Amino acid sequence: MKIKLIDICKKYGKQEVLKSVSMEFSEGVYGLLGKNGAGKTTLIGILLGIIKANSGEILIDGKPVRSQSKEFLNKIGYLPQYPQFYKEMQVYEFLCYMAALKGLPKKETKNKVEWLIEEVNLTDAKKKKVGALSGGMRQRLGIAQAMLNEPEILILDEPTAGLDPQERIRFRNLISKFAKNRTVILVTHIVSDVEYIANQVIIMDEGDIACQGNIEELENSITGKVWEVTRNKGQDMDDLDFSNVSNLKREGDNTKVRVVSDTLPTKDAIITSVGLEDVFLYYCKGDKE
Amino acid sequence: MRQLVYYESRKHFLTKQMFVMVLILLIVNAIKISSVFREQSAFTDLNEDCFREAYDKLYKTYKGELTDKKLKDFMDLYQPIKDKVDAGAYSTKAEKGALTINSFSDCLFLGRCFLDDIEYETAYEDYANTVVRNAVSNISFFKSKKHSFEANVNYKIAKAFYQRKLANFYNTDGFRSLLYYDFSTIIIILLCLYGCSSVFIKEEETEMHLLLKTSVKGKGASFAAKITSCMLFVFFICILFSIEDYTFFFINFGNMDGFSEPLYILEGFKDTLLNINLISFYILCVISKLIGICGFAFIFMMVSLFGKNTLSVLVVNIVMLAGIIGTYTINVSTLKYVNPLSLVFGRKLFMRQEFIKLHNYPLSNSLLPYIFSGIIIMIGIALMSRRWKRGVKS
Repeated sequence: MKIKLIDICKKYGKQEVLKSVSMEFSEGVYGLLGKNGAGKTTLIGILLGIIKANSGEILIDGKPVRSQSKEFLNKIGYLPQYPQFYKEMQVYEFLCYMAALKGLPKKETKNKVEWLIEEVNLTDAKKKKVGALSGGMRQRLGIAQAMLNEPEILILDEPTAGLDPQERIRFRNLISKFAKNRTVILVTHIVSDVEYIANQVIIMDEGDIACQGNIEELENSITGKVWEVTRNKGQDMDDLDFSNVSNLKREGDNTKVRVVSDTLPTKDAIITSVGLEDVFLYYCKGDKE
Repeated sequence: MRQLVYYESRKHFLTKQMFVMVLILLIVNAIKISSVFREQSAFTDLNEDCFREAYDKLYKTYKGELTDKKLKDFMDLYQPIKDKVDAGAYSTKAEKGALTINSFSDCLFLGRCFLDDIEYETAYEDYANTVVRNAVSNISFFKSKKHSFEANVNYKIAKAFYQRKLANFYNTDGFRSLLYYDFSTIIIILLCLYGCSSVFIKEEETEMHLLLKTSVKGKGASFAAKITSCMLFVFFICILFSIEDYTFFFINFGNMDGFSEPLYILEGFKDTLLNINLISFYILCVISKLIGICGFAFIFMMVSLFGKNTLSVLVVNIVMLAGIIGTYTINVSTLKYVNPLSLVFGRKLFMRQEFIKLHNYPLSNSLLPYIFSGIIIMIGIALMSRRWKRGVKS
């Protein structure tokens, strides 16, 4: 399945949130990265048909998609940002309700729900109320509901935000498990999530696509632009532009500073290996705070 | 669809809080009915068992068809006591052979529990005939003046009052109190306010609206399920409290005799145009209440759909409810007809009917609140459906 977004524009009043964005998705895991307010959630909202674009078109396998048509909705599974779900419903009951909303036949529902509860490791919490679940468990429930209709496109909006490291790893593994033969769009501003599971990365900045490609390609694109500067105790760092610093680490009396820059940041800087966080910092330079 | 209706009910109405609240309010309502009985029973200030015993004995004798023999027997019993009391020849102490305590209490008891009703019932036929005669003469008059609307109104009156007669005597205290009882209606409105205020806002608060909008049945079917579950809830609580009212009035008053007697057996409905019996009128009142509460439910749901959070929706709904009650108490008939409270307290619509002109055809004003409630419901469905289906923040 190929999803093509062509020249998508969105304005809220005079503020341009998306500036003629075009991109393509096919099978695989896509990491849609960007700072808060970069336009990621708006773009996903437009793709899902819950936000109207001012202009542009979406094609699925070459055909214009009538957003919200039954055919289209049957193909997607969606986990929104910060879902609360219905706190007073039990886990099993909630999934059965979601299955009814997705139009699953009653006969299939029971088996599908049981299977998904097992897959996301919520068997012990099956009878628990949704309100009593931890953040991680709730996100696992979220992905289970998104998988109910066996979607061809799985869209996860900030799925790991607020999770502890253990839950984050567990959730990443879950996404990888469900990603087989699907298009998974992982919207996040947490670079490490994308680094581990995404085949393709799209970085958005200020309503536009800053760069796109697989991790290796993106890292190669800034090779020679990531520097390491080592400063001894007592040496000042006034000569460094901190908006370009991707990391600062103390090692004994020394401080190692990682700088992303097109040019040599200081005389003593040496070129070092590139990581996805450096790529992110390089392409999202808008924020000079 | 059935599944969705179940889950919508489960989310909003089949909750522990709602169950506990309904249970508590059922108990409160039962207590209130007992207090109404104590206030309105004919024995309220005759707080002696002997009154009840005497009543039961005499009631068995006189209930049913009011024959000449029964009337004669009753007057033979009552008149000597009345004469004695009028002459002041009674004792304040217990008298031997008295029905209750003494002649004075007997006179009071017979007058209040039997004579007043018997007098009204025997005089009603004459009253109805007078109304018919006057109406017929009005028809001729208005026809001669070519006022066909007035002539039609009088025709309706004459037709309604034609051959009216109250042939039977029954204790209708239970029914009278039941038809005038409004406390349970207030409970139903409050339950409806509590239940319906969260019907649409819950999704916004829990981010579930995004999942609904991206599900096949999250739009039209979900909307229909919400409305259906709400209507089922209104229907259920209306019927539940109506059954409780009937049952507890029956238990407290000891009987609900006269259920098959015409509505005008109750003096308050002397001028009604309805020729139906008491039980049918009670059912009509319950149906009216149901339609009126549905009107309220739609108002509450509309606010819920356009609101920001449950608390603000509740506050707006309470203010609106106060406004609706306020306009109902203002004595402007036009405002009353568009007010769903007119249906909720439906009995008042049928006590004394007036007509409005519709191309010279007299349309009963009691129909107007039904029409307006229907309009509120239709507008509510259209507005909410549009807002819900659009569901796009652009």
